[in-house]
Amino acid sequence: MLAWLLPILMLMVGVTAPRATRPADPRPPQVGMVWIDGGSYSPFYPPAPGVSKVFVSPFWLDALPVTERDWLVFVGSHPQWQRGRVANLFADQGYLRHWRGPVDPGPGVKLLAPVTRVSWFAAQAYCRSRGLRLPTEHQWERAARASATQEDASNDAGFRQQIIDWYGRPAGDPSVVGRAPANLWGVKDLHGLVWEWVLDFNSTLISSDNRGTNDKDKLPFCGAGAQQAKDKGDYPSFMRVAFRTSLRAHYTARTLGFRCAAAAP
Amino acid sequence: MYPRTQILVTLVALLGCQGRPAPTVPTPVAPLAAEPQVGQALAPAVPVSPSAAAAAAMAEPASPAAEPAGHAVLPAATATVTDSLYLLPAKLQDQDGKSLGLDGWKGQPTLVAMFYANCPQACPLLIQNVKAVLAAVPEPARAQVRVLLVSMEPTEDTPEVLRGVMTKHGLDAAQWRLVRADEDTVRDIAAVLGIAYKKLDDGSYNHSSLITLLDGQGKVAAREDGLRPAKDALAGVAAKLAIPAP
Repeated sequence: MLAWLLPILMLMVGVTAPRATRPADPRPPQVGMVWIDGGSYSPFYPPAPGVSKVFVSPFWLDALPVTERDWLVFVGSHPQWQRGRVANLFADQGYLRHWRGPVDPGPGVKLLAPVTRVSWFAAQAYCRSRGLRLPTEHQWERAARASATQEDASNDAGFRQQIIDWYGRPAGDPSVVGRAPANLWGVKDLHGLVWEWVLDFNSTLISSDNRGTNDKDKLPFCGAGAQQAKDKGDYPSFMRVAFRTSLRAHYTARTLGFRCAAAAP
Repeated sequence: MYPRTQILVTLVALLGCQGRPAPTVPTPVAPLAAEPQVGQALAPAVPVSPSAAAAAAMAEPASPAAEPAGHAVLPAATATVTDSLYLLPAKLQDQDGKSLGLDGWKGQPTLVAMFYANCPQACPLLIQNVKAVLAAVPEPARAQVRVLLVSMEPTEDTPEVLRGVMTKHGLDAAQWRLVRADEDTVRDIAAVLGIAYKKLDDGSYNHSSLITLLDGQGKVAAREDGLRPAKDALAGVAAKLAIPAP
């Protein structure tokens, strides 16, 4: 009965289901990328009044953060990104400061650790050199809500606590990538290693048109934003939003790395 | 026969889809060859030693794809101003359809702000405030100050639309240029200006409003809240930039 009822029902409600599942013959644009199904998630700040979810189209994501070794290869082929050659506009003075020389990480740097102290411009240039781009905030957050068993574990108290515990630990030099278990999509280290750049890190604002704001410095942080938040218990998401809104595109930090993404065809 | 509850669940699930926002169209990866490359050569490059590169490449599980043709390493420059916004490669198009870079008003103090034509309140106010800043610059300095308004809406704000904004606000093309750019360039420009923005589902934008004053070389000389600028202070800096010291 359902077999003939379904098409009629679909016509009645005007459903055009987005392709949200892995294609039969998946060909990642680059080795080391994994498929993330299209699907909805609830951002910390709802996208619009009365709307809590955002649909994210399927995409490809690097399974691992970009490593120091990847960066060494990159600066070899893109010398304009060697330390000492990058304009202050594109990276602050901390850029690759932990390396011994412009093309020499030195013995103290773990080559398989995520590369850090790279600016948004540098991260963008790296991804573009691979024909990719940084993941959008929605893409990153969609991937990061998956536990090993659930597509969206953001309401799972244990999963949440695990991330909060990481945020609570003092940050030292990051460990090597790939040690943590993969999430449902096969992605590792979205939590527990370093913060990561996203394409639209500068997209968080708390009110439309920002008119009525007395102090521009208050804009990304205070009052109204907290009132808008849908799930105030989602502390990990709040932490990430707060961190991103504190960034400028030329900033670098020892705890800030990135990975690349690509839209599914 | 399927149980009635299952049909009900299916119905609810299908109806539930209706309220879901339309999936966003995947953004195609921009072709690299056409992309301007951010990054400015400031000092001679240090070659990666062959052994280090080889070791790194050998250990590389996912060797990056070869760079598409068309990418050229920038030559070493003698630039000493390394925080000039004019270092950003940006392909812009003005209200007359003419191509220019971010440095279209190079050599003159320039007020830069971002807006979009269909913006209901903040952007008209922003434009009025830029006019007020200009008006506060004493002559003869005022005649030297220029304005560059960058649209954050890559598709809707065509040159024709930008010309409409010029007409509506009575902006003089000798002093004002309204420009559009592709999505990636808009993002880069917002990044160097420190402007946050986000396109909403209804086509409008959340955005911070800033007026940035650049000196003739593209360095940031002053920044003000675009909706409540300290216009006299900003005009004062512009006047100093415009008149060379004796």
